[in-house]
Amino acid sequence: MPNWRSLKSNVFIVLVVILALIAIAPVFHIIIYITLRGLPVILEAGIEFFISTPAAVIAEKPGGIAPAIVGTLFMTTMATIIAVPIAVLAATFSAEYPNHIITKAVRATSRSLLEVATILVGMLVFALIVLPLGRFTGLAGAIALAIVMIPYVYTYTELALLSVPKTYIEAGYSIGLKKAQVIYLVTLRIARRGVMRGVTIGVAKAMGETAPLLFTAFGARNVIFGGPLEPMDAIPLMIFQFIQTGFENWNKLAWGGAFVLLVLYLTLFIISRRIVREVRV
Amino acid sequence: MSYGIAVEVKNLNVSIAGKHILKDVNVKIPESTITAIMGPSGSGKTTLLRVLNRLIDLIEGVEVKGSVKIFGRNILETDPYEVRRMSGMVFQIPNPFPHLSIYDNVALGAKINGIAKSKRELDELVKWALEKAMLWDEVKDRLRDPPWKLSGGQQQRLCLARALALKPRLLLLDEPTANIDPVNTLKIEEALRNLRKEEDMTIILVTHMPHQAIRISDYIIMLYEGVVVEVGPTDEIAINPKHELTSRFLRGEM
Repeated sequence: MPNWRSLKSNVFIVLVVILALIAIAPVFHIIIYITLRGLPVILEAGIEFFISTPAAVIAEKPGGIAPAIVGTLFMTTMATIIAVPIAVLAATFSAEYPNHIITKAVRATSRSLLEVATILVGMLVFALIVLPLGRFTGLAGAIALAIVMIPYVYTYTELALLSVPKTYIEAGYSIGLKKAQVIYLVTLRIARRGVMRGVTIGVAKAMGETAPLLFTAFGARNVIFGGPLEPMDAIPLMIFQFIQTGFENWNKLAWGGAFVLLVLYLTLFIISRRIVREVRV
Repeated sequence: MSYGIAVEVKNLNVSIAGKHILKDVNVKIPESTITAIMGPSGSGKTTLLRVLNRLIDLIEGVEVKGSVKIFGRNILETDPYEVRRMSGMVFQIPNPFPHLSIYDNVALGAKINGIAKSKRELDELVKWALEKAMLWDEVKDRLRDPPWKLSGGQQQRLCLARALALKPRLLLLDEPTANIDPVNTLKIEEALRNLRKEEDMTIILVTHMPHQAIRISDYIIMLYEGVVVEVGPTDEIAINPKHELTSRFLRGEM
């Protein structure tokens, strides 16, 4: 049979393509399904969806999810401001002293923090901040999200820094740069895309978290923004709470919120790829 | 041309992680000369070069003993960051900073070390360095381009310009043409000759190409397994090598 080999080859190619499609199908399923359920809600509610609080369950229109959107933006931003400097500095130390005892400890802690159920992070912040303050606050939510973010940013940044070829570091020293200058002016700059990737993934992770907020920010569906020391809503928290209710209005808001979250994700990934150019080595 | 001593190495012993790399090295390198350090791979050429700007300190478990004086200063007892500012270095593989433009590659060292104080001074210094590296004409209209747009040979000349922007009296080159085509090799060699003549620079060049050593150097240091087996003026060594290993190396048998 002369065509046996090419037949076998073609069968495998078809098989691989089918398997690849199966692997990425859930992504498209999520995007399409959320768009189909969420977009009509937003179109129906109009601008109200973004600027008002949820309406009563029996109201004619569902109202909006402004508290959740504002809360998510606030807490994610705060978490980023807290987490990124800590994680990048820790990663810089690790890359500079790979065999130091502190590096080993940080690396091990970070690995396990990546694996830990994030609700435990929420409980930790509950014990450390919520209980002493005596109230749920957006700040506590932001701190919990920061703890979720740190290991992602740390891990990606460390990898990016370690992948910078040694010869550029030597070149930096050869023109008289001090250690801190080599790190800041050479290593971190060359690794900027990898650092940005870590920050993006960390932000995305924090933005989508529900569990760490249950005991910290708690949720506040009737106040758009009460300040950092008040309970605060977040989109995933709102979805989690509203989708469980039997009320049609609130279910609608949950689906609309899911669509907003999806758009936020896509924007985040596109922007982060655009603003930081890859350094060609 | 002056005849002072630029580099004086006395009883230099270097070991890395317990391995003895350089053994009792003693050499004197006169000012305003080109000296070629020759020897087969693993003979300690690069190590010797990296002692001279203390880049050797970056390696873990390195031990340096002896005395190394550059222009009369014992560099082993000087702050390594200061030592590195005294000399410029070009590496074996062209390594311009990939995240900086052609201009900034040259300007960074000068800016950080306060060599150029104003924007105009910096512009002039960058131009001077690129001219001396024989690259100016090729890049003057695209100073803002990233270095990967240059050919390998141009990149290496950019690295030379980066080293020159420190206005060093001593220039160290670690097999600068090992990865470069012949035309660029000749350009770099011409640049080195001019730097010695016009700027009174002392140039130390590691090479494992005997022809290059003969073409451009005034003195040759022959290293073998960490030991200096022969030192002398290139004219004498090229015609009449005293040591068997040197003559074998020059004949290309090593």
